[in-house]
Amino acid sequence: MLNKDKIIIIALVLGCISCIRDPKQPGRWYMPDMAKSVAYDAGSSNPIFKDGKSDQLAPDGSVGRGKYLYPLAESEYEKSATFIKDPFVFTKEEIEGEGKHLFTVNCAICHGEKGDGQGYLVQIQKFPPPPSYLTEPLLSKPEGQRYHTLMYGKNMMGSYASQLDHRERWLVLNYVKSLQGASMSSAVKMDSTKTK
Amino acid sequence: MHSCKSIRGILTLIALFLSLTLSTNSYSAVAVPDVNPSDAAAIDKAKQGMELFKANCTSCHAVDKKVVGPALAGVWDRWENSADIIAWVKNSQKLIASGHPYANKIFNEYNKSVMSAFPQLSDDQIINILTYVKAKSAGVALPFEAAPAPAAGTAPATSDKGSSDWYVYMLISFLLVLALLLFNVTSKLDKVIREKAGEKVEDVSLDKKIFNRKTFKVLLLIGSILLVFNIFNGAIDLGRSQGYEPDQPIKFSHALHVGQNKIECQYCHTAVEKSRHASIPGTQICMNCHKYVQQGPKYGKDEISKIYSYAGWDPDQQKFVKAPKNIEWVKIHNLPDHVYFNHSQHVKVGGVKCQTCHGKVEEYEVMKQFAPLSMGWCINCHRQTEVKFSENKYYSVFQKYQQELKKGTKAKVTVEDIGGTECQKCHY
Repeated sequence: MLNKDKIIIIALVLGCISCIRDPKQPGRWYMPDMAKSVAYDAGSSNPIFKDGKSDQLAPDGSVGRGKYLYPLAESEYEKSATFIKDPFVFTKEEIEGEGKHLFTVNCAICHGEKGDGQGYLVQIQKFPPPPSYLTEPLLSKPEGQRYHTLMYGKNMMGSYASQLDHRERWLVLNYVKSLQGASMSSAVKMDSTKTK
Repeated sequence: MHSCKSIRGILTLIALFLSLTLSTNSYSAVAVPDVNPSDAAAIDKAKQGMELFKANCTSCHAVDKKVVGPALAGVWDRWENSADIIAWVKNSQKLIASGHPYANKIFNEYNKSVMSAFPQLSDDQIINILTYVKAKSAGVALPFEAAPAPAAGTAPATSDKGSSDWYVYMLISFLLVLALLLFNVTSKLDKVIREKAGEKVEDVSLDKKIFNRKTFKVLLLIGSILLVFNIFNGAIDLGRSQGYEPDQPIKFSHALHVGQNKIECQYCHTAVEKSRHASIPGTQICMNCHKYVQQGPKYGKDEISKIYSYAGWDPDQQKFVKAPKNIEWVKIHNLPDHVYFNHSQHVKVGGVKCQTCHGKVEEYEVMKQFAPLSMGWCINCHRQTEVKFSENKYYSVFQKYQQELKKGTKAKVTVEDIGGTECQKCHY
């Protein structure tokens, strides 16, 4: 074979493989003038702040407009029973729609769709069962203590303060109440048929 | 003065002893029985114990590891008098107040966190719970306990499309090499036969036979076509990262968390319905489950202990001992700065499934970019996707479309119809 042919073949092969991209590397850019943000983006690292991230919490003691400041410390669980009351009045649609959705996303994986403590993670034995909402002591747990538990977590359960905002927490708690209400009324019905 | 003090000391000691005996003598000394798998009565007791254990204890205790409270295995050996365990379970604060030394020791060891009182449990029930825990820790096969259900439905995707392609290529190249070798052998044999027959055979080597001018020209043509095709595709691919699959600081598997464990996407990506960003969860969301789950099925403790070091969590002490550090995940989906995209707009209002743009994340062992995220891809979807016109009251302002929909002259309203392909919708 001639030398010239070899060069042509090598050039062709190189040309064909040159555009293959390593999946571990991002794609190539051609003149990325306006593509890369000059400002720091959400979730990016940031050399200006001490903790190195762009997402900063509000300074201690400040409350954002329209935001809620929970007045109790973690140790004040007992106090929350009487101190914290549901300030919202939700419609049935809100509870059954948004409330149910939030419950399904955040709670049902352990507490179960019905609140019986038999969520999917419990069923596949990857997580221990939480107490059922449908029996004591959770059945008559004061709403303030429920809210406190959402804020700070309790026992194996973590805090949901960062995932849910003030309104959403009460929405979820209202949905839990509706779950308990449903089961309570059916229990009452069963009892009444028994006594008959 | 001195004797007075010692008398007082002796008196308090006696009082302590009395109170101890008084508080404990109401329960007779108990022993936690072993469970014999063939003994039906014992199995039944252990079963009752399991039900009570799961209903009352598991939110703080595990059998063989320390979680919120201590591991329950061996608790009957740790307490001097096992009857005290019953007193502790019924009302731990009372036992601590009575000055029980081990009760106080354990109370202080666990940062004075109060164990809830269980006055509703009877002595027998508590023994049943301990019987179950003992059987469990001893590894006795309990017939009522079903084996953990194998992850139903979605099996982990081991053979995705890419790897099966790879096998096909391997097979083809192997067959080609084989064909070449066989061709060589047959031509050699052919030559030997012909020489034996007295023919004078010109020795033509294989590569001269194959790589003559004619085949070279054909190859050149195919090569050039491939080259043009590649350059064209490569040019289109500039500024895009479809299939980008970088190594992450923690080998987090969506296939395990979403596919097998069926955790909702929004459980971790909490802001997806509220903000522009889907948000990457902080370590406290990982720790919701991983305070308890300390070992994964694939990497064991390696990857989960990385979360602990980022979160500053000490699994032995079961508490946060250091300030949390940032996990620097590698961002995969990068839109150019001159494009505006909002997650909540698409997920909450539009009701678009996560998988529409991110692919079957529940099967990804390693997260990757599924969509090209090109402008054509965006526009194409905007042209085809129907807006939920009747469900959303906001769209009542589009009176002309509403009338047309009523009349039936318009079958559906797409995102394009309400301005979804106008430049300034995304570029401003």
